[in-house]
Amino acid sequence: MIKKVFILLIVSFYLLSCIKEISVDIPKKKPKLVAYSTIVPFTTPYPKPLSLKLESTAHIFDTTTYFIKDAQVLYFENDIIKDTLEFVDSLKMYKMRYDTNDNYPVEGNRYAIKVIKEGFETITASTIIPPKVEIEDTNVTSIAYIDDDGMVYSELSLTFTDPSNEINYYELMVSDFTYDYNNLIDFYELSTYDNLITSESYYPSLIRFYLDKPKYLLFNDQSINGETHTLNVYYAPPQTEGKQRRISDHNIRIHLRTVTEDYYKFKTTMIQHLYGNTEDVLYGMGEPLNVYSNIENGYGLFAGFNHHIVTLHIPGQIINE
Amino acid sequence: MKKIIIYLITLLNGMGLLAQNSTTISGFVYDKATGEVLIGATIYEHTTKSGVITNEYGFYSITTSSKDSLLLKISFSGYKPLQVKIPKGINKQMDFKLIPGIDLEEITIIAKKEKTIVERNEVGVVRLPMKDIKTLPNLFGEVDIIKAYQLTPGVQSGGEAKSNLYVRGGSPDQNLILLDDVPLYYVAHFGGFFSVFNADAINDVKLVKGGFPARYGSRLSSVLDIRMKEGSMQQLQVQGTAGLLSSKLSIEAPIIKDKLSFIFSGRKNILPIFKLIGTGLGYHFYDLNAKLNYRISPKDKLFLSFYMGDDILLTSQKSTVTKHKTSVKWGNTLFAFRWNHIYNNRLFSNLTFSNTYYRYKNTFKYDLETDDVSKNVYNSVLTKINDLSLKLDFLYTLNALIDFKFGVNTIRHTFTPNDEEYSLSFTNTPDIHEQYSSISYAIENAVYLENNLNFGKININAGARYSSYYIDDVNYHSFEPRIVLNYKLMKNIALKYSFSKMNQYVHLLAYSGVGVPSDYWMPTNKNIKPENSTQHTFGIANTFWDNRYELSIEAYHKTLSHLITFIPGKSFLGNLDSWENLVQPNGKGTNYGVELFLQKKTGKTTGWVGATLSKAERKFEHINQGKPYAFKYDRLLDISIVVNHHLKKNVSLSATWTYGTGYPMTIATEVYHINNDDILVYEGKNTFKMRDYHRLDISANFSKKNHWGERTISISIFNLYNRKNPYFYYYDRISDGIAVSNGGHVFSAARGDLKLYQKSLFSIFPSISYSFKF
Repeated sequence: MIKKVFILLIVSFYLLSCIKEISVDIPKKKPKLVAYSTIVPFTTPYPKPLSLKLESTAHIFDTTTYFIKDAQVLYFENDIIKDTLEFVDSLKMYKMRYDTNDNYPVEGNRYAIKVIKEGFETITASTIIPPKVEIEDTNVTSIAYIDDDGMVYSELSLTFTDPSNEINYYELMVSDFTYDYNNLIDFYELSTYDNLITSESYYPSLIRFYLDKPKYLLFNDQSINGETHTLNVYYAPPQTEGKQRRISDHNIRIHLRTVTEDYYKFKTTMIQHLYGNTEDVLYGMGEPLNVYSNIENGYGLFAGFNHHIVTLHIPGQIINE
Repeated sequence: MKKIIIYLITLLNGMGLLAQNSTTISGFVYDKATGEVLIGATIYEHTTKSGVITNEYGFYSITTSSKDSLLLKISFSGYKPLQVKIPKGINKQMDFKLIPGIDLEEITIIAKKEKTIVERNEVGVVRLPMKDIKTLPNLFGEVDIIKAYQLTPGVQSGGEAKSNLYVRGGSPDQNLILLDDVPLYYVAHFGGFFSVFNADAINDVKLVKGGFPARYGSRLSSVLDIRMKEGSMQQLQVQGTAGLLSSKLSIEAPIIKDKLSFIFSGRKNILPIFKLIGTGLGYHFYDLNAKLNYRISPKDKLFLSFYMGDDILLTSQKSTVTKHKTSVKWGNTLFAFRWNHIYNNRLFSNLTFSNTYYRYKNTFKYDLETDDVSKNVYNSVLTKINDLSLKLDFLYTLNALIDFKFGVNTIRHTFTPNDEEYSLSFTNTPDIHEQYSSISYAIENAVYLENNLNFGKININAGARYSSYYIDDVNYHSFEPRIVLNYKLMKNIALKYSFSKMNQYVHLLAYSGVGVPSDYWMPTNKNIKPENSTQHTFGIANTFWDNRYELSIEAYHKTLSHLITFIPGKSFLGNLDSWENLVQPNGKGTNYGVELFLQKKTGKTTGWVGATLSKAERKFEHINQGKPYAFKYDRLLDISIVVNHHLKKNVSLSATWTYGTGYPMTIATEVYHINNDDILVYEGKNTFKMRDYHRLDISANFSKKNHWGERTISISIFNLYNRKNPYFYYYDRISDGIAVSNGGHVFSAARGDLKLYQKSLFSIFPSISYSFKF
């Protein structure tokens, strides 16, 4: 008994770490504009019309999102003004006034935005849409493995050829059939063991297994320049519980994007930034990292990408217990 | 120029003649009870009023030009002084043995005769007696040398209860931590909460933070010179301690009396603390110290020193089909062979052949075995540094005014900055096995000359160090002038100045966050240049009230260059590529400050007050937009008060109070949203300050002599008034789930307010330890 009390006393005193909410006087700064827009050439069957989200920064403890509705948003093609975007209240974003096929961005052209809003510094940014890289082959293994919690994972293999003599940046995403550009929903979390991606500093190491896997796999062609490469990734397909467990009959869309360096830097730093906000006492907390931005005088991203989308039908399958 | 050369020749000739008419006595000073050498004992000659102190090997050499016989007084704090009369003209080796154990009044009288801070030709040097260190309050009942030095001005701990040393704005890798002349690369157990040094095996410790003599090199910011005990030459001695976190045992004994002795000391954690508190973490550590001391002849001594210590942290989870295990191991092994030789009364040498090895390994293993699927994942990150070193040091006493220290050193470094291995075997997929090897070799050579000139009122220690470094096809050279001046303005006031240029060929990369250690030692190479620094220190020293009090005020200015750091967001985990892609090179640093140190060394009540006003900055081209920013451990004001009081002969009380303005931190000032994610905006690096830090610790030591020996019970209370000091800060948003009635499912969550939280580590924390010796 005495021994138990002794141990209890020791334990209660040991590592009595405590958390305390504190107030630090953080002065208010003049807010800046935050623009977010990614542009892509016209592609069927789901063209993505040009759009731009605009808000302002808020004080760190302010929970409001300040959408900017009445800014002047100028859109340029090869330094010539092409349109003035207008705010669409239902979408809470700016769109082109004349949404025709001719108004879609074109690969190789230079596009720019200029946003003027009273009380804010004017922001500008520009981008060039990189060339498209096609998915050459795909294959899906419906039941690749089952994790500790009984979740089934499918393996997707895709093959592409990286153009040589230039630095290319890519993004891979897998969505279900309900994906549309205005509602960014239903991207699958992706994991991989391919060094092409695991060597990227944003990709969570095996040791940080408790982190959610990213929904966007970004990578560069440093180690595969000019080569044909097959990439294997894993995702959890829709599956049903019950007497008979099965993978549902479903469709997936594979998006292979070629993106600009700005786009790559923005997304990779954003993933690291979001992971960094997660406390990790055991393995150390990294230095705070600002998300990269190519918006002059503001934050966010204006960047072009090109993409090839492949749709696959995955038939349902009974999962053997 | 010609005139200067003629003058120098004349001066040296004069000095040579002076030497011919002088008497030189040299030898060692020992503790009579144990035969242990006494480092820093004073040998004072009354007639000529000149004195020397024993060096780190307990050796002295005193030369006087007295025409009469010599009257030497040998004294050391805590020992009965010895007075010896020596006829003139006798040049011989004389070893002295002092008897330990005198009362406090006598200590006060002896202290008056010892060399004071006004007389010592030192700048930025701190010595704390081991007996005082052992009585200080401590965490977990562990006596900690490094924590004691953290209470002196100019030294920061780097966080709650940490065992790091941030000296005058330098980082921990810039400290040369010597254990018996051999560098140790990592010096902390238990996630950095206490140091690897077992106080029972330590004889003497000295910290140099400015005014570096030329014999010290290869680090920029400080030297912590630790000397192990040699082992009793007279009788078997056993001492041990049972503490909350660890227990230790030391045995020392003669193998051949007055000839050959050994000491062996071991320490290990006993209670599995983390398991007890249900974290699922397994943690173990141990350290071993051993030393063999062989006096071949009065002129020759051999020593074999050995140290080994490791920490192991394990996490594991197991289910019916899976096993997941993570382990982190780190530690040092050190071996040294030393030979002390006295050529004659004027020339002493020490040869050291040593090997020091630091390793850190992080492994991750995952196994899944079901009827259908088999999956095995293995990932490891290994970093090591292994130094094989040969060093030869000489001390030559020319005459009463001049002595020289000179020597050579060669080190073969084997660097393994980041070896990585990754393997995966998975049913129906090809096995993956990838490895990255990073081993490289380098040779570092150094030669130095140091000259001590004692001209009565002015003392000078001038010298220079020249080093070279070869790796692959690249080589670097460095010339490092050093000078320390001591001008005795009045009997009890001295003005001091020092200049040091320092150079460092090894670089440390460490994650700056909290958590288990992650020290990666990197070589200087073609792309990463050696770090270097220059430091100026100005000081004034004063003793008063019969030398009972020593006061020093020092101002320093230090610049650092070619520093490295991680590129924000980069890490070794999963990196199968060169470490150079992860670092930001060519950083600069500027540190300056003023330190006040008031010590009371004698009487029933001893202790000190230390205060530092300082600033430390860093600058990297691609960090903080290239603008200078506050060093993470920059502290504007730091105050420490230490009091030891001998209540009775067998009862002592101690208290320490520390105060420091908050460390800098980077916190977000603004927020915006991308796809419903909070994106925080950090406006500048380290622009905000944490809350101020302060803490009071107390302790009481009760000793009792029994028929079998002596026992001491030490009771400490850490953080007596339970101050919630900041350890780190983080943002969090607590979202409230909103249950929608349709089926009771949670459809959405309300975004709560974003708040800033402070994590504190140790609240009020009592500890007790039981020590014995016989």
